[in-house]
Amino acid sequence: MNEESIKKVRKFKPNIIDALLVLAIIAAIAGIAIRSGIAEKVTETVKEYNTPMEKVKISFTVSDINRASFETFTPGDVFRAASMYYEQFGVLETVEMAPAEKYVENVHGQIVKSYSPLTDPDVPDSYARIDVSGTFTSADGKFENGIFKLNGIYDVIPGLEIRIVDKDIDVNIKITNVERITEAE
Amino acid sequence: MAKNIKKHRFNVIDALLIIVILAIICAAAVIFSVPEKFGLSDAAAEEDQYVNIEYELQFRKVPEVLKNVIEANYNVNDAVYDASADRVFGELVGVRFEKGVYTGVDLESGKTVLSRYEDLYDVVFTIRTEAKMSDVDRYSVGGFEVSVGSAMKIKLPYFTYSGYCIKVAEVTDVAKEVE
Repeated sequence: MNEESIKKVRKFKPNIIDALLVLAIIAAIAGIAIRSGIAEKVTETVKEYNTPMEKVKISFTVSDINRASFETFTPGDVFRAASMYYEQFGVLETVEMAPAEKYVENVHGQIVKSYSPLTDPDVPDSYARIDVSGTFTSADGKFENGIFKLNGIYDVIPGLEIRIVDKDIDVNIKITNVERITEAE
Repeated sequence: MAKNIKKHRFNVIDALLIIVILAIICAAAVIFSVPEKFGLSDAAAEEDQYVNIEYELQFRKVPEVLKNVIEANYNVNDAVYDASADRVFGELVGVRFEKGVYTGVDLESGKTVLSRYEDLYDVVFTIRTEAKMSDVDRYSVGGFEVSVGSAMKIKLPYFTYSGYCIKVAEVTDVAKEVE
């Protein structure tokens, strides 16, 4: 490319033909978008994007963990959801423990519920294994079709089992309830 | 002016524009000439056979705390979503609960014994939807084939769980044509 041709390229100015071509391309793309439903999806996405963030109260249970692990559940701690790419999950509000429940078969073949015994009869709550229950105030999320989505992305629904972590513990929880605590503006 | 037009040389921008235009024209031609491939053909849709079906999904050993949440929140006509894909499995028609059954063996008699869990429940959702008859004569709901034994993971705002289809029946035998 000689100096003259470089000069010509630099001198390129859009003309009416270029404008018409661009318009034709835009019209064709818009036509395909509308016909194939892409435009509708874009509209829905924009609507979802504009839905305000809010927090919910999340109830949870943890089954059959070591008694010593209970001490790591500290109200006020911020937990992240490891199974949701470490998205901030929420702040632990309340926590309580109970002896771990376990179903066992008796000699008659019947299923009966049993509880983890105390390791030291003189020490209350010295169960070998425990179940934990409690509540979180969630991080921000949005409701879509009635389903709470953490950060607008991850479903948080009763029945869901997820792995949560903080600096002290890494544990699987089962979500048992999701309740609105602030109304969307 | 004539001199200016004569001086215009075909450049890379012109080439790109032509390629883009050709690509769009080709895409549009393909989409509009075989619309059934893209789900856009009314004529093709009219050929598909649809039936209304009702099916039951059973979720086993659901903890009592979740059973209580379902009881407090469910409504007939709630949309039941696939938790694994972007589709709706149908509308909730009813829910029933019964304590889970355990099958054990009496060590004294050696006989099989049935007993019930104290606080674990079998939850059964009855779901109604319109299903397309697939090419191999199966009920297809949004591309998912529903039959007894199908493993399905569902979600609603108040419950998500994995279960199995335990019953399927057509509720009307009149095929519906898509308008």
